[in-house]
Amino acid sequence: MRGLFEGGQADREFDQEVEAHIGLLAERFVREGMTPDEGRHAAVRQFGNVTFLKETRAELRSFAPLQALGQDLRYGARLLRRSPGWTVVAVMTLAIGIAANATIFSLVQAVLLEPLPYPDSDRLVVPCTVFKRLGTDRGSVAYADIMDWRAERGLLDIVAAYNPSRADITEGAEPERVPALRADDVYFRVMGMTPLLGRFFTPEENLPNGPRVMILSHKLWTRRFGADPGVIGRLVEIFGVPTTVVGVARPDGIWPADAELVRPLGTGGQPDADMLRRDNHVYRALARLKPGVTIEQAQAKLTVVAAVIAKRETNRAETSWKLHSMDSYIVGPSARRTLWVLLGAALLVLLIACVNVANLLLARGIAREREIAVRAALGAGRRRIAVQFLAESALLSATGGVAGVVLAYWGLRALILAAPRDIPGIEQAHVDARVLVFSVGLCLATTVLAGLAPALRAARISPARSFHEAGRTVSGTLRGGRLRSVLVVCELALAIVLLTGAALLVRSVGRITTIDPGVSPEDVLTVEITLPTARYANDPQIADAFDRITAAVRRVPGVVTASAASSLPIGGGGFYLGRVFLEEGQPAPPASTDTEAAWSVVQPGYFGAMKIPILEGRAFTSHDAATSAPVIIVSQAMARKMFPNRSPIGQRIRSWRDENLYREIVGVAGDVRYYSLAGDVPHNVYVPHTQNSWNGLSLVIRTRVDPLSALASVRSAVWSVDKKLALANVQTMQQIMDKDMAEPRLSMFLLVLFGLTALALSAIGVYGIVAYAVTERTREIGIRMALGAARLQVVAMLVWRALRLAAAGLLFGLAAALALTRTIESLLFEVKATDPAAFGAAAMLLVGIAVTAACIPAYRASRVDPVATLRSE
Amino acid sequence: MTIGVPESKKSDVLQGTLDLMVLKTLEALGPLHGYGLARRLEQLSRDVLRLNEGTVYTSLLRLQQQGWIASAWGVSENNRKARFYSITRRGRKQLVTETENWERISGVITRLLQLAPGGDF
Repeated sequence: MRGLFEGGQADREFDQEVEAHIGLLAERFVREGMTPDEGRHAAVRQFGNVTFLKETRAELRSFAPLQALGQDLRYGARLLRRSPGWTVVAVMTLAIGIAANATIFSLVQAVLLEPLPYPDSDRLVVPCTVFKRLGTDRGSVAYADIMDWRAERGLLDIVAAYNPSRADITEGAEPERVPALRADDVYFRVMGMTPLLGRFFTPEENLPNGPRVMILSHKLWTRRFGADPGVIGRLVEIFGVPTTVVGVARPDGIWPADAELVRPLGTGGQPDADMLRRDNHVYRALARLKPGVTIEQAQAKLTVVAAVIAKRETNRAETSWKLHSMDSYIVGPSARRTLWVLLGAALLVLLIACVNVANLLLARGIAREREIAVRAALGAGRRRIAVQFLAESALLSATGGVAGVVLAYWGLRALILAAPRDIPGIEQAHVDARVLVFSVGLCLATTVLAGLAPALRAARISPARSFHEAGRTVSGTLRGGRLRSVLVVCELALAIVLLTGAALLVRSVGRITTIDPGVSPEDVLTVEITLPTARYANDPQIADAFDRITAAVRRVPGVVTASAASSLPIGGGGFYLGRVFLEEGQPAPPASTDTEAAWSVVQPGYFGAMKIPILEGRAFTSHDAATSAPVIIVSQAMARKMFPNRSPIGQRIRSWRDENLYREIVGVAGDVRYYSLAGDVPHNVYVPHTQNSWNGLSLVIRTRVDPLSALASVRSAVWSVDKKLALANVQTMQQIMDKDMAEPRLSMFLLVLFGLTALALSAIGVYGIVAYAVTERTREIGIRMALGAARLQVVAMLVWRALRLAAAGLLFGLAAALALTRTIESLLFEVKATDPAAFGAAAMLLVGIAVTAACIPAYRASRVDPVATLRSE
Repeated sequence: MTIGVPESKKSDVLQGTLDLMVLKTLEALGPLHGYGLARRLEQLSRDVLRLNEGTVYTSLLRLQQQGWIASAWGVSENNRKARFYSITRRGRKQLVTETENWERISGVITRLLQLAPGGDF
């Protein structure tokens, strides 16, 4: 045996040393009077057995710890190669576990752990309004609030106002709509960035009638302007108005990051009365904490200020302020929780994989007991035997780790494709150095988790007992069997936890899909169009243009009907009026009993196009004109709230939006979920477009063909009215609904995947236990059958054992699941975390699979030929 | 593969004695090469112990393995390249322990051998 870590060099030197010694000894004998030959012989004789010496040396040397480890690894590798099937199962098991973790960890790291790309981003905060009644702490803010925050010099350095918007670039062949931002002149100072080219806004440019200027994002500059450094000063048509490019931002220099160009917000100078209204929540804010001030300190101070304002102002009931750190604002609590839950689930899968491999190693350890006993008898220490076993599990987990990382690389790509677009940072997720370090950590943990029990067991084997027992094959159902049973019970219990979680999400998503959105989304195409105010200045012009557009679209072949509305169902739309709807002749109710509603402006034909039923009264018609009586349609929920036990038709109500204008209710429409499927049914009100014209509407086009196939003709129909209109946000109603479901669906898919993996792994575990029991008891089975036991009895005897394991696993698993499913409670919709159906389904599935896994080896055992079995003994 | 190489503690008395002798010689005389060591042991034992000189190397290897002696290449008195062995700090400590052990055991054996028939200590 040649050492790995000491080369032939050392061997040669040792030979030289021995040779020199013998030479010196021979010289001495020659000096004492022998002939050279005699001297040499005498020297060799006196020196003794050179070969023996070399052997001793080799043995001693190979005892070096590193040497021993190298040997153990090579020995382990040989063992693994000798049983490729076994090895593949073990390696794949670990690979799946590690892949699941590396994939989810990549997501967690990209979405949750990666710091934001802005300078001193930990000082960036997003102040929001808390609307208690709406259950949100992310509401937009009033300009008066921003002024109050600016006064808090001790807490906040600078506070910027901005608004997400969109811009139609109307020059060139095809008008294009891009997501954009309107921001005041301090916005870029809050961001802490310098411009890449040109400059940012001046205070003059932020005045209400300031010059038309804009700043390009790095993305738009490279995409549309070919990264031309001479772009500064160029005039570009936005909504038909020439606008000067004054600057180009750096990559990551704009937030929200999808915005492609920024125009001034126009809040400079003296704020007008409308901007000073405390309930005019139309802005968003971005602020930078003063150095040394924590977000908690700032929050505490602002809470006090908000309370003072709430006392003073009657329209501030149930609102306060909340400072979000920017990263907690970007990734909301639900996405955060989802990712942690998924990482937890992935860790459970890995744990099951470890238990499984531990079990496999144990089974093999038992088969190798005799070999170990021999080694122990020859003097191998316990530590050395344990290390041998650990070396084997280290090899398995290292191989599994490599395979796992490769799987994770593909898995992650698939996941990014499947994931909803609106999880920020998800596209940046990749298998990087940190993921690799994490995976190496997992491998080490796996080595210990999977290898420790078998190693300790092997080390405990006493040579005497093992020799004693080695001759008896019908021995020890208890040997290692108990430990293995415990492991399988653990595995089943963990699988139950995962399966229950998966079942809960399946039920929850099932519930969401059965929700009636209130519209019929099939075959509906939606397109957003904004009329530029420069060319469509007054209400009649706007109303007339949209009438002509929808009329042109209705003539497109394949189109059944077309209409337009200011907001789309499920798409998160609607101008939300959190203010009083007053019934004519009634005193204003106290603030806490206000009736709030989502406000939509619609063209005639909207209810028909969306198939929203009119339950009472009528829909809008072309007779509802600007000059005729003001009308409104309310949703059923709204009608019930405001007019319990009487018909709302003919009643007159007004809202803040219309100030002192009373509108007559002419119809009651079916309830529509405007914000999301899983959200509450909001109250909705609809107003005809002729009586309240908006320059940006979504076309709603019902087709008898595939809606997207009609797009080209719809586009030319729109352009037949105005060649410079951009068709933005083209999507079908079905796509809008799918997007709304994407996040719960994805987490459901992953948990189901993990649950099924857990199920498969524990099935393998149960199979292994029973199959081992069969080999262990082959002789017993043979005897029983020879004595006339029915085949069924034999099967039953073996399956009974598996059933006992499954029952124990079930018991522990259900207890653990009861404790753990609470963590996903917030991800569930209309399903309790203790939902008996989900628990029952998971339990039945597991028991079914466990029994099936047990039946296969049991059935095989029952087919053994008793004579052959006995003879083979 | 190596099966059950006995650890040094389990070694027989004679082997232990040889290790002790080597350690003591190296402590007393400083670095020596194998041949020199064999000669010193021969002189000291006044030819009572006729060693298989190769066993000196077994001992040297074992002691080196334990870290009790270290070795380095040097030039011998007659200008040959030779490996010189010297005692390490751990080796000195070990020597103290081994010496105490030896003295205890040899004391017991001496007293045992002085035991007169029928007499008592």
